[in-house]
Amino acid sequence: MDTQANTHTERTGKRVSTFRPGVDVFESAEAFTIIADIPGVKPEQVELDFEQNVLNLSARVAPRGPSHEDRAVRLAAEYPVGDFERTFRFDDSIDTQNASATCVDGVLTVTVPKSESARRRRIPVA
Amino acid sequence: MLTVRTTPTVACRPAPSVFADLDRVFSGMFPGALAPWTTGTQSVFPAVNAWQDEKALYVEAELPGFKPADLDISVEGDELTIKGKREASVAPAGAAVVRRERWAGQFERTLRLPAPVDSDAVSASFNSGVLTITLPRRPETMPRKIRVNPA
Repeated sequence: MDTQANTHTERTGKRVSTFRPGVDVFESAEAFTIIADIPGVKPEQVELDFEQNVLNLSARVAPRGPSHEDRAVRLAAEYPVGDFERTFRFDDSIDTQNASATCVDGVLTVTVPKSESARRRRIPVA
Repeated sequence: MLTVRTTPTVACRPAPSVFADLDRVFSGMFPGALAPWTTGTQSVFPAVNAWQDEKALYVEAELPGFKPADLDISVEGDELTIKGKREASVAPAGAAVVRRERWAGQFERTLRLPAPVDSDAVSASFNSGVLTITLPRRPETMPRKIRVNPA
């Protein structure tokens, strides 16, 4: 499986920084499992789009922190807040129809089953 | 809702001019972990954003997948300490690890607060993996408006 970063995206006519979430990826004979850290993202803000064997993950992060009218003073700014984007390319043919996902406490878990044909190609040796 | 532990304070030291960092325990607990926003090795965890207004100081940290029960927030004098841990994700049965980028382990970070806070009134919330700690300022240190009386 191959991954690539999207560092920028085109939205509202100007370039906006997006961030590449850290992921754990597991592979079994039946499925791939992707676990991604996307803090600040609610389940309804996650978009998962398949284009053949490529999965595009994008997650919108609502702005947070002090608003301009708060007259707040910054004490520390160690990380920027922005949307998450990452693309995953699968080698095996995958069953996108039966992919599923959950998002809990800023952690997204995506399960992508392998297609019947991909499963059948594997011959387990006892 | 998180439990916030407060410790009575006796120490009184001059407030530093910046938001000083007193990281004590951090030695390779997140080997090779890269935050999505950094290009080099991250030296402190978690990164924080902090700000203050007239009423309170606010400290925010991204802690996805951490459980509120595994976070320990304490205020002692002018120091805020955040401790926590996150277990490594477990591979589904029969699955092999293809990639492991997410942090696992435990951390402790102490921040020196630039203004005295009411430690009894400190509160914390945890939403979608984002921890926000609200530390109300002591009334005597809140900014005061001085009205100029006409002569």
